[in-house]
Amino acid sequence: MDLVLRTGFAFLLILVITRAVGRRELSSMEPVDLILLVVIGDLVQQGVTQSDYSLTGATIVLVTMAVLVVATAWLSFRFARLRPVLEGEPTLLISDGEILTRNLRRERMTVDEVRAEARQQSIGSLRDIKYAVLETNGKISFITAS
Amino acid sequence: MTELFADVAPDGRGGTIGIAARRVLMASFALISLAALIGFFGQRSTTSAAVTPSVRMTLDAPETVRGGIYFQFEVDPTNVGERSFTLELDDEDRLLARIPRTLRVLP
Repeated sequence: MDLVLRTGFAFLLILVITRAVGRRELSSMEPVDLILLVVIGDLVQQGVTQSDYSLTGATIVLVTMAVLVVATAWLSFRFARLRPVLEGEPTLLISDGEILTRNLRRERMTVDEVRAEARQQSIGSLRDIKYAVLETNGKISFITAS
Repeated sequence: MTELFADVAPDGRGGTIGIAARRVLMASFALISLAALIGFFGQRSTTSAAVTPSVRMTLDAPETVRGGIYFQFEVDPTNVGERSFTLELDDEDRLLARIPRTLRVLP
């Protein structure tokens, strides 16, 4: 019983932490982020399974995680009001060619980061961008003026 | 349809079977979680008692344990299965009380 409850708590905690940390940080993996991810995984494992080294225990945790992931996706699909809470909402960064600095600040992003993303999508200048949207998965979508 | 998409079947029978199989699998996952929640996979303690006119003996121990977890002794995952865990109280060669129990060891 305790394994399922601990898994549920860990899942909720991960959900809250990832929403609090912000999508931009989670999508751009710097070396330190990668190491932190491994450390977080290890800490979560210790908290969830504790001294349980059994195959049965691992199966219970994995299966419960899978059920929670599908349940969250279903809730998000079924109830539109829960979607912003569970997945977040896209944020407009450039609107009609104008950089929205307030939204950039809210997402802790700089114009240089937007420039770098644009370069990676073969866009030569910010002037060519009509709209830029920070998607819920942390990627930036660009719509060029042409 | 372009050449790269020519091999992709639009809503074929495989898709329907795949979704059904996935739903069955997820339902069985949910059942496993529920079973674990009610303690089916151990290690919830249950109490058994043997009462005779002269003796009352109780045993408080789990009936199912998982490998690797400490419970009086560390359960060895290689000893998976069901075995007798019967407790007897003897006065020399006279049996006073007996609690028949089995212990299920999960991997």
